[in-house]
Parts: sequence; C-alpha cells; structure tokens
Amino acid sequence: MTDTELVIPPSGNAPVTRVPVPADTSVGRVRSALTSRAASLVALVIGVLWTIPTAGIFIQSFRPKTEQDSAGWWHGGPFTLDFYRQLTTGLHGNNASSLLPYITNSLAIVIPAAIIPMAVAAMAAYALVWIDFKGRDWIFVAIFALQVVPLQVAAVPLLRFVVSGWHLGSTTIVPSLGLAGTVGAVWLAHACFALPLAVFLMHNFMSEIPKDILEAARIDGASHGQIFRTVMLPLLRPALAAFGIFQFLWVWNDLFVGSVMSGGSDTISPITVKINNLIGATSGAGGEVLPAAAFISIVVPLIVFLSLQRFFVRGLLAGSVKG
Amino acid sequence: MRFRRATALITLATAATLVAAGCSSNGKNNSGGTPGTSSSSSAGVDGSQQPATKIKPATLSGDCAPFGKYGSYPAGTTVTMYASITDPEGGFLKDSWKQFEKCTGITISYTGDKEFETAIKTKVEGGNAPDIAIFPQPGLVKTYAEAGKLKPASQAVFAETKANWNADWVSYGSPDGVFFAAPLGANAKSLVWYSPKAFKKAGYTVPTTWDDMIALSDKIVASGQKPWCAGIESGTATGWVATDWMEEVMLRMYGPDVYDQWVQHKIPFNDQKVQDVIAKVGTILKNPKYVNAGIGDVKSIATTAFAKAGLPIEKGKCWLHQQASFYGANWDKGYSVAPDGDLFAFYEPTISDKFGKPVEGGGEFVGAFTDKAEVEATQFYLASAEWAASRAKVHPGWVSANKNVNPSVFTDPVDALSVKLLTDPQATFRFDGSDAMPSSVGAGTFWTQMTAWIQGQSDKATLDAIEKSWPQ
Amino acid sequence: MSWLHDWAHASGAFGKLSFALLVVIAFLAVIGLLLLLVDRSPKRGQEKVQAFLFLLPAFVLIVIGLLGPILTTAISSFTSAEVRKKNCIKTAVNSCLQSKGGSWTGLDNWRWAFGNSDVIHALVNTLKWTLIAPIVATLVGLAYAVVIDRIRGEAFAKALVFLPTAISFVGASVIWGLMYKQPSENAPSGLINVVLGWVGAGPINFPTNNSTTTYWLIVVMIWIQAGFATVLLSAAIKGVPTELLEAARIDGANAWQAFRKVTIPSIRPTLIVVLVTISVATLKVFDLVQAFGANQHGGDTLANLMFTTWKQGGIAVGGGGTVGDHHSATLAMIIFLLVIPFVAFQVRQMVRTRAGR
Repeated sequence: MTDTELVIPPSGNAPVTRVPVPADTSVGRVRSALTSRAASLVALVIGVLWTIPTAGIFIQSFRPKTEQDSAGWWHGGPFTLDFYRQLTTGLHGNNASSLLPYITNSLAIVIPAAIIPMAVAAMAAYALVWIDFKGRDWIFVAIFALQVVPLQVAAVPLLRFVVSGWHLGSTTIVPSLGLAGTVGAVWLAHACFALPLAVFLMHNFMSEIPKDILEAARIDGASHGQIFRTVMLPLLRPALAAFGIFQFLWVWNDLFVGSVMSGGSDTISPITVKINNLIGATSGAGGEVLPAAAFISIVVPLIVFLSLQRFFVRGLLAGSVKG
Repeated sequence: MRFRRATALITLATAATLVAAGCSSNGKNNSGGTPGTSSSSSAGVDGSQQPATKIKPATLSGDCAPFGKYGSYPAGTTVTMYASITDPEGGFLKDSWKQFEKCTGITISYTGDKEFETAIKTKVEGGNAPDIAIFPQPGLVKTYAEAGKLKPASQAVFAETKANWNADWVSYGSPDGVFFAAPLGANAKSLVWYSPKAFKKAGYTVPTTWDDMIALSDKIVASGQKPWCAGIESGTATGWVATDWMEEVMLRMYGPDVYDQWVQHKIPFNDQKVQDVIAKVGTILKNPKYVNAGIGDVKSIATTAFAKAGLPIEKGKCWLHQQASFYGANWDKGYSVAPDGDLFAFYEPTISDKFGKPVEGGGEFVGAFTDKAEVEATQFYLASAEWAASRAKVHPGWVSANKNVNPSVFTDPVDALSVKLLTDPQATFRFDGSDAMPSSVGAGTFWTQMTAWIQGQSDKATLDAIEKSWPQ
Repeated sequence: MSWLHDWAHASGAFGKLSFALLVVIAFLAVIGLLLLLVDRSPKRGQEKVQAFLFLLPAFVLIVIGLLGPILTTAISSFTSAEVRKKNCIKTAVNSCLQSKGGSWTGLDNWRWAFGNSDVIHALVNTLKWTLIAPIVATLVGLAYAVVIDRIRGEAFAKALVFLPTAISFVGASVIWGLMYKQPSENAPSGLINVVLGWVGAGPINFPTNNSTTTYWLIVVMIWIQAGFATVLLSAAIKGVPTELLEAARIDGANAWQAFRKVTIPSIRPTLIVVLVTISVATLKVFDLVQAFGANQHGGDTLANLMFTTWKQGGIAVGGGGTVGDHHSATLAMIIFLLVIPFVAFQVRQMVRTRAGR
C-alpha cells in the first residue's frame, strides 16, 4: 500500500483527500485553495493541541523546583539538568533514585515478553488459517473474544498458579514452576495476556497470503513444519514487527502486571513501578523530579516506534484495509 | 489519602516542648476499648495467646555480643520483608539493620512498594506472602490477623513491645486481644507551628490550654494582625487538612471514646457532638479576623496548597499554623528550626483536662506471615530500643514512639519534640480517623464537604451531606 | 545448575539482559523441537494431529492466563462468600468460619450490583467513557490523518500525535496533572486554567469537580488514543484504490463528496477495528482513574470499582473468598458482558469480509 502513487499538486499543498479537485475553473481554484488552507489549519491545531501537554512536561523537567513552584512552565526561566542527573548518574553521590537499573529491568522484561507470544501466536494462527480441521473458525473467534478478560481478574489466579501450580483436591496436576518472584512470572503473564491480539493480527495477515504459494509447497511434499519455517515466517515479517511494537509499547508502559507479578522487587521491577514509587517517596515534596522521570521513560518506546513505524502500520492493517 | 500516607512515611517532627507543663491529670487511655480496633474487645492484651519463643540465644563476641539474644543462623538464612516505605526512607531502613544481619547471619531482603496494599493482598492470596510485612496502618493488621494469615507474635516479642510502648500502641497491634504486630516508626500530628523568635520579640508565650490559644489569637488581632494561616489544597486530596482539624478538636472536646464512635459510625456524622466540633473548628478557620494570615480571606484556605500554607510565618506575616510534624520538610532553606530558632512547633493544647493529652498521628506495624525462628528474631530486634536508636542514627527525620530509646539519638529538634509527645505517659494516642473511615467518606466526601464548608457551606449542610454519603 | 540460578538472579545489566536473551533462545529451541515433532508425524490424513501441535503452546498459555481465570471469576459471581464469626481470632483459624462459602446463590451478587448506587454510578460513567472516548478519538484521528495526508513532514506530524500513545498512564497522569492544576494562592495554575482566565471563564478544579470529573479524564483518554487512530487510518486512506477516486472525480464529485462516498466506505473495516479496539481499552480503563483519584470525586468507572472492591474487600480465611471478592468478580463479569457486543460486532465484520473475498 505504500507504493500507490498519487497526483500531488506541484505546489506541495495537500489536497484533503487524494481526489484532485478540478482546478481548471475559477471556482475550483478557490475551493482548492480554501480546502487546503482549512486543512492546514486543522492539522496545525490538532498537532499543537496534542503536543502542548508533552512539551509542557518537557520544559518543566529542566526547571528548578523553585521555578516550578512559582510560575507556569510557559514562563521558562532558569535551566537545570539536576533532575536528569538525579535520575541517571545520581546527584551529590546519591543515586538511589537512578532509573537506569530499571531501564535494564524493563528491557529484560520486554524482550522475552514480546518474542514469546509472537512465536506462539504465529504457530496458532498458521494452524487456524492453513490446516483444515473442523471448528477452527470457532477456536479463532473464541481466542479473539478472550481479549475482553480484564487483567485485574486474571492476575490473582495466575499468580496462584505461578506460586503453587495446579491442584485438584490433593492431586497435583501441574507442579509449582518455581517462578514466583522472578522475572519469569512477569514474562508468563504478559505472554498470556497478549495472545488474543497477537493471534488476531497474525490470523488477519496470514489469510491475505495467496493460497497458491502454500499449495505449491504442499504438492512438493513439504510438511506443515517446513512450510511454516521456510515459507510463512519470511512472509510474516511485517506482522511480527507490528505486533512486536504494539507489545513493546504495552509492556513497557504497563504498571499493573509489572507490580503484581514482580512482587515489587528492585532487581526485576520495571521502570513504571519505580516511577510510581518516586511519587510521594519524598512526601509530595519530590514531585519536582516527576517531569524528568516521565520524560526518561518515554525515550525508549519513542525510539522503537519511530524506527519501526512503517512495519507497525503495515502489519496491523493487514486484513482490515481491503474490504 | 494516597498523599497522606505518603507524607506519613516521611516523618517528621514536631514539637511540643511546652506541652508538658499544663496538662492533665486524669487518666490516660484506660477509657476502655482498644482504640481503632473493634470496640467489642474490651479486655486488654494479656499475652496468654502468644506462642512460646523459638529463638535459641547464642553467645556472640565483640561488637556482636548484644545480638546473642537473637540467635545465630547459618549463612544464607533469608527473611523477606515487604513494606510501603520506598526510597530514600527504605534505604535508611536497610542501613539500620546491617549490624544485626552481620551478627546473626540473617539476610533481610527488603522491598518497598507504594502499591503495598494491592501487592500484599495479591501475594497472600497467591500463596506468596513475605515473611514480614510492615503495615502502614492498624486496620490492615486486623484484616490479615482475622483471616488467619498473620502469625501471633511470640511471647518474647510481646514482652519487648509491652516494655517499650504505651498501651495504646500495643493495642493497635492487637486486634481482638491477640498481639500480632509491634509498632515500628511513628509520626505526630497535633502540632501548631510558630516562630519562637517572633514570639519572643512580641512578648508572646506559647499557649498551654485552648483558651490561652484563643486569647493569644485575640491579642494578635488587637495588634492589627491576623494570627492563623491555613491551606487545604492538595490536588485530588484537597480537604484532608480540614479533616485533621475536625479530628484534633473531636479528641479534645469529647475524648477518645466518642472519637472512636464517630470514626466507626456508631454515632451519626451529623450528631450534635460533631456539630459542636465543626462549630469550634469554625471559630478559627472561618473567623475572618483570624484567617488567612499573609494569604487572603477565609475562602483562600480552600485554594492554598497545604505545603505552602505555613510559609507566611517565615516572613512574620502569620503567627500560627496547625500541621503535622512532617511539615518540617516544607520550610524554605535558611531558616532555623529549633525551640529558640526562626521556626518551631508546640503541642496543640487541650480543651479540657478530662482526656489526658490527646495525640493524633500515625505509625507502621511489623507483622509476620511465617513463624520461623529467624523471622521471630527479626521482629524481636525491630521491637527493641537498640534498633530504633540505630535507625535514628542513620538519618534524621524519623521518629519512634518507643519509650526506651535514649532521646539524645533524635538529633533533629522536631523529631525530638514528636518523640517526647508520643512517649509521654499522659498521652492518649489515636490514629488519623479519616484513614479508618470507609474510603468513600474518609478519602471522599469528608474531604470534599469540608472544602465546600470553607467556601461558605453551612455546618449542618456539610455534616448532613457526609452522613448521607456513609455507605449503607 | 547453580550457575544457572545465579544467572537468573543476576543483578548487573549485562547479566539480566543476557539471561533474557538466553531464555528467548531456549524458548525458540523448544518451539523448533515442536516443529520437528510435527514433521515426524505422518504427512497425510493427520492434519488434526499437526494442527493440535501447532495450537498447543497457545492453548496452554490461554488456559493458564485467561480461560482459567475467567471461569473462576464467572463461578465466583454466582456463589457465596465465606462467613466468619465476629471478632474471632483463634490459633486454629478455621474454627472461626461459620460457612466456607462457595455455595450457589444464583443472582444474589448480581442483584447486589444492580441495586448498589455506587455500581450504577460507575456503570453510567463507564457508558459515558465508552460513548465519547472511542468516537471522538477516532474522529480526531481521522481528521488528522486526512489533513496531513501527503503533506511535507507527514511522518513527523504523525509522530507528534502518536507520542501520547507511547506514553504510559503513569506518565500521562503526570502530564495532565500539570495541565489541569487548579489555581491556588501560592502555586502556579495549570495552562488550561490560565487560558480560561484569559477568556474570563473559570478557574475550574478539574479533577475534583464531582459532576465533570469523568469528562476531564475522557479528554486524557482521547489524547492518548487519537494517535493510534491516526496511524491506522492514515495507512487505510493511502490504501484507497486510485481508480475509485478518479471515477468519482470524473463524475463531478467535489472533495467532500468523494471523501464521503469513496474514502469512508473503503476504510470502513479499519474504522471498525480502530473503534472497537479503543472501545475495549476504554471499558477496561482503570489506571487513569486511579492516578487522578477520580473515584473519590464522582468519577469512578466499573474497572476501577472492581479493583477497589477487590482490594478493600479484606482477605479470606479459606478458598471461599470474601464478600468483596465475589462482588468484584460480579463487576468483572459485567465488564465482560459489556465488551462482548463490541467483539461480536467485530467478529461479524470479519466473517463478512472473509465471505466477500
């Protein structure tokens, strides 16, 4: 979809849609000018409105406490890097509020938490799309429907499972996995909760792939395992990237799962938990570091999004664009 | 409420040196009921249901000799501890028990989490409870004790706690007569901030009775100034400062028993007694001659950030400001906080001498989910005066209600004042009442209605609205 | 194996990250083995076995993390809580139980929910959220996607609006706390109240104003979700076949007509995906309400009420659950029921799309 080429007016002004407005009549010319001016205005207004809050916090993060307390951020004023220093390398030899270890924690959580459901969902979607068996549509719909389960509902039973396994009466069905209080519990939780959306995306994407490719491979005697590995995975790349970004943003920004499943332990809890604990840690007198903290936590997901933006959209849209 | 809990951790200090003088005679807290817990348990805590100790004392040498009573444990023995106290205060805690860890061989694995209340429930229900939890308020001790999740404290821990704390504190850790949790840190509200230097210059003395305080206020008015400054703005928690005023006056007018009844809704919120209390608070907070010194009119109280409300005292524009000990952290740099300095605090005086010296405040409690010897040893140590002294030495801004700590370890004058107040044998201690009310009231309508009251709503309309909002 | 244990509990950055990678590699190896197993199975007539093996990992995760919990919750909403004797603390705790709970009570919990004014209030608020946030966020996203289409710096413009989507709720609450700050005698007010001051309106205590709290929080949600809508809709617009638009032009349609008659129908499936996704997210909204303490100011939502009911519901002696646990489970089921129409709608859409292909 990125290579559909359109007529763009040489002026560089954008038409509202890609319909070139007849510009050869005087009415048409006026209308075209009006539309593009209105369009630019709308773009500007939305762009500015959406950016102001974040810009405000960004500016605020460089203002000393006394400034924050006495005047709004739009007044500017003196500039300090103290908060950033305090939250990274530490200030006055005290690095207790450094966020750096928690950025590592978040990365250590995010990577497996994105890749595990990705692989599991790709396999499931393959079976649901390309292996012919009865009831596969029902299974798909059921999996999709499970995205409605509120996280808060699932957390306690899942934690109970992680800690002590499953028992029916006194019979142990699944023994304790020994994951309690480890980062493994966080991975497991995120992987479970992400599956419905992951299967949905992969399923949409795979249904778009022409049947002939698969059938040709089958006739050549390839097994499903081989087809999945050699044919499907390369084709799936955009969908995997799209889901990967989505999941990355979600896991990175999550507070609830991270705080419940990690048990709050410093060595594994993610950056959101740490930031949440910064609030009030100094009796409300610590509020001045929050803007900087919020900004530091945005940086990584922003880099990820900007660098993978193309895939994100392509993968998410498969199956829904063409009606 | 979030905010208040957070502030409570921080600690404080305040002051009431002067208090000691005036007060009362009549017995402190033996008015009956264990405060804050169920009112039906009238019996004291006799220790008969506490299990025997499991600690095997060891003989240790050198610096470690005093730790022999906690026993000696093989390397790798770990006690997990979960609390709501986050850094930097969490770090101070960890430093405070280093010597204990070194001598006994126990490693304390400490986690501080602001989402304590959620996390501890998830952990306990998930079967992953820590060995020890530090509860930020006694209501939670009761919840976990009644569900059979907490282990009753041993006789050794009980004896240590009884020796170190006033009875009010022991009973807050003993729901229904069984002792579960010893207090850890504490903080005091019940303080009025002022400027000793300005008082000296003007020839004012610190009031020791409520009437004195009102007389002083009138004197200041006569001199052409407003005496009181106040502010109840606190973001989404706006109004809590005004609820503290209600609680302080309730304790002073009608005493701890009525206070408990009010908090537990055994008397309606618009009861005549509560009406008397709000009227009394109004004689200060809604008196245009008294407030809002250095800031504005009565209504400006509603829009003044609580953290800034006392600052006019620094500039000599305000004389009196009621706020907890943790307000000490809010003064600007460059002002001395000391009994003879630029700023200090005195005990908010009593209205009558019928109820001893009421002190409102907060504190944490140490409960155990397992009954291993090393866990008991840790509890035992945390209940001791040695530990409290060790913690106080790590960093000031921390207070204990432990009576047997050498007061000289509290180097910060406001800390010292709070300790004095909390450990006073005359003191009747009560937890912040709004924290113990259902949160839709204590962290909801009580705040919002008091804010409306400041803005002009009548006493009756205010109390009626809160009464109406009390669940079921 | 103790080296493995040490590695798993590494505290250094390198240790943690390398362990995470090790786990990923180990996991992929297991998946690889599973695929080998699939290859070993007879090629013909055994499709079911192969499908089973492909679905197995997903099935396990779903049962553990989603299906099990939702079933437990459903049962919990129809059963009773344990009953404890008053003020009973005994060493043998179970003797304090009057009833273990867990017995079938039909619709009792549901009757409680629909007879409770707090629940109804939260339900009404939740409906407000669900009616307003997805539609406005989608409209804003659509308008923005249209007007930035093919302008210079489109990617940058998109990133500006997407930025909030990449921000956590924790971050968003800090940001909007600053925007909404009420004016006070000695602290600067937030930008919004300053602007209101210029036009002579306000000031307003946004998040603590009982009748309007919900709307101010919805604004934040729209701010967060509009970027998601923009990114998806922008791509969908680019996918509209050129020939259709050309044809519309030849028929004499103006820009607006072409947009309505050609673009909108073409991007309909995406519009639905966007609307449904945001609606589901909105129904579950909880972090924002928590962060602003809005439940204390008339702004409670079902998801948040469910959470606080559970949290403040005490703790059970046995497995029977407290009253709070059962009530909370009932609220969860109500959310579940509310989400189902959206999902059903989308499923129907999917089925139709597939049939039409």
